[in-house]
Amino acid sequence: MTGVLAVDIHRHVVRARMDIDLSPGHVTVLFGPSGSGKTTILRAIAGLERIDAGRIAWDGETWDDGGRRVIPARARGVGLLFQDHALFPHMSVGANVGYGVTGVSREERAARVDAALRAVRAAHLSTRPTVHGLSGGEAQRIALARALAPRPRLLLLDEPLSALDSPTRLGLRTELRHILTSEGIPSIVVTHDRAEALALGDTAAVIIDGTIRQSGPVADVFDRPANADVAAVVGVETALPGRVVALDRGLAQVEVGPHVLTSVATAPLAVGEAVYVCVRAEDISLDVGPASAGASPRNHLRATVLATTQEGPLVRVTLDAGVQLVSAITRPSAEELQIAPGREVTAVIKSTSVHLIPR
Amino acid sequence: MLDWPSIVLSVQLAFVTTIVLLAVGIPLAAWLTFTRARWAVAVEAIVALPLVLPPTVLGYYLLVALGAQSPVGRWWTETTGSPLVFSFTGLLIASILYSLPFAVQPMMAAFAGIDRRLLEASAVLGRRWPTTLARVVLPGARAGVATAAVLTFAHTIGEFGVVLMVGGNIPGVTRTVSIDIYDDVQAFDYAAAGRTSIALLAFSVIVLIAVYSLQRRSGRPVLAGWVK
Repeated sequence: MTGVLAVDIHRHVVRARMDIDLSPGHVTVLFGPSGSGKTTILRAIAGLERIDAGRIAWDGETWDDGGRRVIPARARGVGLLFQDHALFPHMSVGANVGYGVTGVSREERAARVDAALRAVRAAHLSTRPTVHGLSGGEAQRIALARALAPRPRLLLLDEPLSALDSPTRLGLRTELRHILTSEGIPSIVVTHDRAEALALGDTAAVIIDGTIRQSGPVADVFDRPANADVAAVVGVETALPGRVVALDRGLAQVEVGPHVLTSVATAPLAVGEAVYVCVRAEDISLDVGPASAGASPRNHLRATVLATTQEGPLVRVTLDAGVQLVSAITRPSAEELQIAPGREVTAVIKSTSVHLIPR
Repeated sequence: MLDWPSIVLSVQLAFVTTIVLLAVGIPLAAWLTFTRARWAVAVEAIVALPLVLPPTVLGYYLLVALGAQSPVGRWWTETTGSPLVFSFTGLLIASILYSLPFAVQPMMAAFAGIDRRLLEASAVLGRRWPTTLARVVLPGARAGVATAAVLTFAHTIGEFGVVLMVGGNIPGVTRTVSIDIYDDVQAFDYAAAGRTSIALLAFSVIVLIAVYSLQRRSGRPVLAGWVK
């Protein structure tokens, strides 16, 4: 059963209209800076806020029409993961997870709690008499299990990783993507973190000042911003799909189009793993003349200049290197290198500047 | 000798008042704390009225509202065969109204301290409001509810003006301890008044120690600055 959640939300400054794909396991990312209204959209979908006007409808079943028709949060069948988990402080881990499981026998309920805890790899925490003393990552797993246990038809995640410390966040990020896709429940993730968006999302919608400015497959949105506003929000990194082909002493070899790039492996990776290869435009320098071969671990890519645009003191150079790259260099060096469309150059990228986001 | 019938009556009255006010006050306090209705502020003001209104004024209106000439009083007399004023039931109604803020306000303070996201989590997890109140709000506000119960009980024990207006001074029926003290003083029996007074003084000190230790254990000022 595949349908859409039709969203047309008018609420304060928010004017958001989009159709959200409800394919099993499909992850939609709402991406935007803080204050852009993405959490308002999520809360309106959850039923925690009424909309002023517009309509939210699940396959023709109206959830909120801004007027008299409203289905309360408890009857929408959604699961919500709060930013800082919001576990019930006076309940055991098991009672927290089982809180939303109703209308079933005691045995069935226990089975559902177990299954949810296993899904988030927290089965070892099931006998904890209290949620006090859980680490941030553990608490977020329990909160996710609590959201999954009643078998919601839609899962909503509000900045699911931002309250966690950096190592925990990196570890849980890849795992979360796996959990979301394997549970077969469509989900909507709100985030302001581009790595999180790339790691978790299938499609992304960029929200600025309450409106959706661009939406589409996550890599397209992040690699090809539709306009300057979106580019400013999603960052100026290239994001290219790639695959890890070798790992050696903390360095990863990644196949990107016709090239193999060297990167410092900051996240846990496996050979064969699919990744996004991200490089900031400022970290791609240009050179003319033949690529100097032996200068590893630098990456040297032959490329042809496609276009240039002036941006203040910088020149943004779009390159065709078999894959499309964007470099930002200073105006004097652009003049010195005689950068112009058609010019043959070598793009140089330090391996520490190649960021890999597993997914 | 202490006047035991008065003490027993006061304790009975305070006990029943406390039970009724917890049953009525918990949903009322929860509604006042969490509602978005604009007119809730008017309800809140009415609930707080006994804090500022002279007890004799409240007593006067109750006497008028419950008296034999009023529709309520007439109906009561026709149904039960006895008048509502100058009876234990009349006294109970007066006590409930008079102690309402002492039950509702500490609970509102405690409920307001509950993380709203816990209520939202409960709603999204499919639970109705009464379940959320029982399983999420009350367990997180135990100290506030206990404070409300203790204050209601103590306040009812000590009330005077309203009781005198509505209940009069019928031994064993409406003569409470504070009226007993007043009677003793009127009769120049200072020794008896002193005995009852010292008992009430000790009782009050014990109550306040109980309230403040509850407060300390919950780590939250459940009286939130409004109790003098």
